[in-house]
Amino acid sequence: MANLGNFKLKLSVTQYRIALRVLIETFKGIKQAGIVNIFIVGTMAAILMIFGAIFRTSMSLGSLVGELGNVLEISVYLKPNADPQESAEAIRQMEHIQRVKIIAKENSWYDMKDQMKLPNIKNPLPDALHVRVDDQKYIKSVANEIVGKSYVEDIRYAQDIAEKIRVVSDISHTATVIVLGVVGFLTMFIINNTIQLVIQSRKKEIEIMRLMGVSNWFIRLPYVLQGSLYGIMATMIAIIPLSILQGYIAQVHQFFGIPNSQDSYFMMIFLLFAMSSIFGALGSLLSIKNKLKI
Amino acid sequence: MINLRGVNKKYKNTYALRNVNLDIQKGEFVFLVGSSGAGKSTLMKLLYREELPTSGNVYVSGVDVPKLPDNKVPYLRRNMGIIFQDYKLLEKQTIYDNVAFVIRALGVSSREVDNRVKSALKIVNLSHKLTSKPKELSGGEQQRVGIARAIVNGPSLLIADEPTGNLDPQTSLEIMEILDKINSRGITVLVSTHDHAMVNHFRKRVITLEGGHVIKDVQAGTYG
Repeated sequence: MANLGNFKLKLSVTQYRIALRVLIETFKGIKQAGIVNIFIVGTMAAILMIFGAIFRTSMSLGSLVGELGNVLEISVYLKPNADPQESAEAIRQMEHIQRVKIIAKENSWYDMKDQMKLPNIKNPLPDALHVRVDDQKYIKSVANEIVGKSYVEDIRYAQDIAEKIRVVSDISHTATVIVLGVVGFLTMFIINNTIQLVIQSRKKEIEIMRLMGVSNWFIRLPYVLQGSLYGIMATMIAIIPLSILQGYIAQVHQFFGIPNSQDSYFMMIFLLFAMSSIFGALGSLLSIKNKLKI
Repeated sequence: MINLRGVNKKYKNTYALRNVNLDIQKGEFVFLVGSSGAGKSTLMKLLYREELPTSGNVYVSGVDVPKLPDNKVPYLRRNMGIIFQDYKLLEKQTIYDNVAFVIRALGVSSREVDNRVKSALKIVNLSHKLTSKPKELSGGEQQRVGIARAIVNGPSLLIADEPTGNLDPQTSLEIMEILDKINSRGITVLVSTHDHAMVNHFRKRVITLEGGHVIKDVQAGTYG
């Protein structure tokens, strides 16, 4: 039993040494790339910064759009013979309705008279309902449905604003997805080419290692780690300008009175680290597959 | 130790080896001779699975080499030492690091690496060149570093492909004497060469290849 324990201990010590050696080989590869490292990390940092900026702005825009959309209401003017309570209840039964508020014509008239100098005439205003939808993208379809009801005289809502908000929101989401694809491709392309150069410069070393019985994964792993490390280093640089952007975004949120979530910022950082290291490793794997025959 | 049975190796339309049958016992010193293109290097590459035979069986220490899965090939090679004609040393690294770097990659402890490297360099009489770079050494010394690297992991088989191809006769003799010394420790040594004088001087087993065929296999033989 004791022997088995020792054996396990020895194995783990050997594995630890091999892991350490893999790290040393990784840094040796980075050292060997020399000045090229600066270009790789710099280019990747610029790409990641662009992606981060678009992603963060898109998230912020999403929350702004959400908040603005939430305050958009449909004003429904009822026919003189319509019962406000019954009409409100009928609308509440429809899909995507968040809230229906009854504005009695007496109240509207009172408010109007309070704000303007009006002659003493009979109240000409109709009873009205303020309808809020649960998501601003349904505002148009809900409005179309309401306008066809028999008890409805007319409706008003900021159709243009609602439409523009929806378009901006859609564009920013689509842009994020496209940029993500471009960033992934560029990262893999850059890393792939760099690792190919490193493999080329260490050809002799690799050949000796494989002929002397060094494991395939030991030869390959440093290149994969090198690719990931480039991604991580580039992200660390990209975070600097992105944190400045975060400050500006916070000011915009403050101006509109919309809470600025720190979670979005941390989520962006996490995403950048994860994405750059994964794409970096994939770029390396690609060049290993093409250039490193073991 | 080494068994080849009906081995053929064909590159496109040319046969490098034809129906080769061979047995080499543990602890033997064998010269593999023949003119360029006779198939010497191909035969050696089959042993460390750098090449696969077109047909036939290759066994090293009982292992069916062609059938060995790719991920097991490193384990086969760890039991061998390979010496190259062009030395294959890393120019930027010291002699010590050239010998050490492979066993470091195998997870050997620093103290053990130090012991093994120093003892391997002592066998090849290069203990005084630990911190030198390959370019500071003569061709013979560089090949001795190659030998030290090949034996540092304690192989049971040493494969030397034209180890004296780039060396003068006196230096070649020194290299062969080192290989002979290593063989006397029980390590099987297989040397390919077309150096007549060397083969005739040592009087070891000589296997002659011609056009991919084994045409002669003589104990304490000569060449030419």
